[in-house]
This record gives sequence, structure tokens and C-alpha cells, in this order.
Amino acid sequence: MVAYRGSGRRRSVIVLLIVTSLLLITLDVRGGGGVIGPVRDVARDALSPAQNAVEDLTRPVADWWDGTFSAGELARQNRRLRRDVGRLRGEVSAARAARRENARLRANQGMAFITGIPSVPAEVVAASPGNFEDTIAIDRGSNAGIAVGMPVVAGEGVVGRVSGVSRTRATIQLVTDPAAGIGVRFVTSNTFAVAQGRSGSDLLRVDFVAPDTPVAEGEMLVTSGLQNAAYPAGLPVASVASVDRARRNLDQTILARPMVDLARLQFVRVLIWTGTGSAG
Amino acid sequence: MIRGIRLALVLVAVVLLQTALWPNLRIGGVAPEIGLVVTVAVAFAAGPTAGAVFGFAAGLALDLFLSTPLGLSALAWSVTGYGVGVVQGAVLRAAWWFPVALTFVAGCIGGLVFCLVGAIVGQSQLWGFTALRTVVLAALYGAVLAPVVFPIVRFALHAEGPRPSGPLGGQGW
Repeated sequence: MVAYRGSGRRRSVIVLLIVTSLLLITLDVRGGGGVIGPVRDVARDALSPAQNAVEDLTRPVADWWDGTFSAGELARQNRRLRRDVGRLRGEVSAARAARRENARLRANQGMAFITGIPSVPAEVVAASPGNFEDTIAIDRGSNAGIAVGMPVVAGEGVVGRVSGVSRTRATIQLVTDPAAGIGVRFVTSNTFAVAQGRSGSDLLRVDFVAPDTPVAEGEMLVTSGLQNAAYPAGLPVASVASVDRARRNLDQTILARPMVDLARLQFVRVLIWTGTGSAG
Repeated sequence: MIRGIRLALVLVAVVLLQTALWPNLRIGGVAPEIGLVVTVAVAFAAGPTAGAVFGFAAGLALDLFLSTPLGLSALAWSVTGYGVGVVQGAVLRAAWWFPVALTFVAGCIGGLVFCLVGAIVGQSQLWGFTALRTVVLAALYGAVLAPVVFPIVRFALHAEGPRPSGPLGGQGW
């Protein structure tokens, strides 16, 4: 009898926990950000000092780990970069001429706002705590004028968008996140497409490209800047890594490598831009 | 009471380590679900109710730092904690490797529940071979950590619990 009561109590507890979990999930999924969002913000702000302390304390361990498990990747990256340096040197002179022409064209097409967007510098303080998302945390939040949806860039190009913000921290959804999609344009053919993150991969999949569109490896993709786009036009996003033109497919399978080395980000800039131009 | 305070401290430590340390110690792009490993250890040492409650609390705390829906980890981990507690209660005597194997299996089950429910509520990235690979790797990583985590949890529960007889602790040893 006692055992039965204990068993019944146990079942009541687990049923209660399951029901509570399902209610929270439903509340969050069905647009309950108005309730859940502030709770998340408070938790992130509250734990932020302790997280910083733990990160500072364990940085030597993390650096050692990174050096141990990334040695092969660093060697491959070094070879690739050496090859790229040789190629890029040859392209510099052509780029100078193209830059002059580009500036003239931008002025003609009214896209000069790209260079005038205010930005907030920030340091990356944490990687994603989960295995199923590509996010980073930065050390600036709403106190610095950052809001959800703002684009984030690094020296080489687009990093992602702000997906969550508390007073002192912000979460950035990287372009490689499986749930992220970004409107892009092929620089050479001027074709528009959508680049999406892929689970477990550091490459982007570029969709909606007609099979007869000429695409070459190494071609650069920039943000499309179409109406209601999440990013200003013309920001470098990725370069084409591979093209597969299988005949049975209605479009091409294109993979692109982000311009920014997202695995080793340290500093970024958040553009104070909300889709209709400068918000700052 | 003392046990509750100790478990609360373990919970805070779990959240701090999961958000500030383990993301930098990935293998193959995968970090261990240290909260789930601790949940398994709590359930193993204190039974299904404690496992379920701790799993819910730890999962909910971690959910606050994820972009997946709030309550998803809480659901997966509480169910896993409950299941481990029930299984452990049926084991009279276990070999030294049993907690390690149990952590691996529980990690797989917890990860699959997380992915399945997540996919049902629209998290499409949680469905597919890559997600399955991530779940298995995370479970494997967690199992490797089990011999370190179990004694710590046993220490946290020691104040009011029976003294375990096995190398990793737990009822029925």
C-alpha cells in the first residue's frame, strides 16, 4: 500500500512536470515572447557576471583545448590562406579599379547608405551553449542601443543577426545557423538567391538558383538588399565553395563558405540598422 | 534541506559550466550535455522523483540561454531523469561500467526526446541525420564524463542519503 502510494506520487510528479514543460513550450512557440523574453533577459543579465568570471578562469583550458583539437584544421586553413593570398594579390589591382567604379555606381543607385550606418563594437564572450544552434554571445546589449534583428558584421563580412538581447549581452544567430536564411546576390551574374545554414556544417546552402545561371567557384555573394531585407545591400556574405549541376535537379546545388571565420570570431560590429535604414 | 541547498549549488554550477566552459570544449563540434549527465547521476543516486525534478530544473535553467523553445530541455531531461530512476530502482547490483553505459543510453534518449518534440513544434533543424549524429556524440561525450560527475553528485546527496557501496555510488550497489 505504501509502495503504491509512493509510486502514485512519483507518477503525479512526472505528469505535472511534463504538463508544465508542454505549457511553457506552447507559450513560447505561440508567440509568448512578451512573457518569456523578459524572463530570459533577466536570467542572462543575472548570470552574466558569473559567466564572465568562469570564462576568464577557464580561458587557458579552452585555449589549450582549441589548440589541441584544432591543429589539423589550422594547418589546412593555413594552406588555404596561403593559396588565397597569392590569388588575392593578383586581384588587388583589379579591385582598385572596380572600387572606383563601384563607388560611382552606388552613388547613382542611391545605395550610399551602406557606408553611413552607425555601429557598435563588441567582443564575443561565449559560444552557443546548445548543440543544435549556431549562436554567439557578445558583451554589449540594449544599454548600447542594440536591438533584436540588427545585422552583425566582422572585418570580412556578415556574421549574422541579433536574435536576443538583454541589458548587457546580446545573442547573435550566425549565418550558419540551420534556422537562418539570408537574401544574397551573385556579384558576377547579379542573380538573387537565398543562403541558408546547414546542420552540422560550416558551409551555407544557396537555394533558388536557376540551372542555367553561370556560377563559378570562388564567386562572391553579397546581401541582396531587396525590399524588407534583413541586411543592408552589398555586404559580403560568402564565396562559392562548390557547384553541383546534376541534370535531374531543377536548380543547382551550391555550397558557399562564409567570408568570416565564424569559429574564431573575437570582435564584431553590430549595425544600428533596422531594415528601413539607419536607426541610430 | 542541506541536500536541497547542495543540489541547488550543483544546479548553478551546471548552468555556468554549460554556458561558459563546455561550449569551448567541443569535440567534432559537439559539447556534452553536462546538465543531462548530472540529472542521470541524481536519478541514479536518489531515484525517479529527484531525477525528474532536478532534470526539469536544470533543463529549464539551460533553456533560458538557448534559442529553442523554453521548456524543451526541461521536458526531455525530466523524462530522462524519471526513466533512469525507475531503471536504477530495478537494478540490484551493477557492474562498475553500468553508470557509464546508463549515461550513454540516457543521453541518447534525452537527446532524441529533445529533437523529436522540438521537430514537432517546428524546430526543423532538430530532425535528420545530423541531429542524430549530434545526439549520439553528445551522449558519448557525457558518458566519458560520468565517472567524474557521479562522485560529485553522490557527495552533494550524501548528507541525507544512504551511503552507496559502489565506486560511483547509487542505490542497489
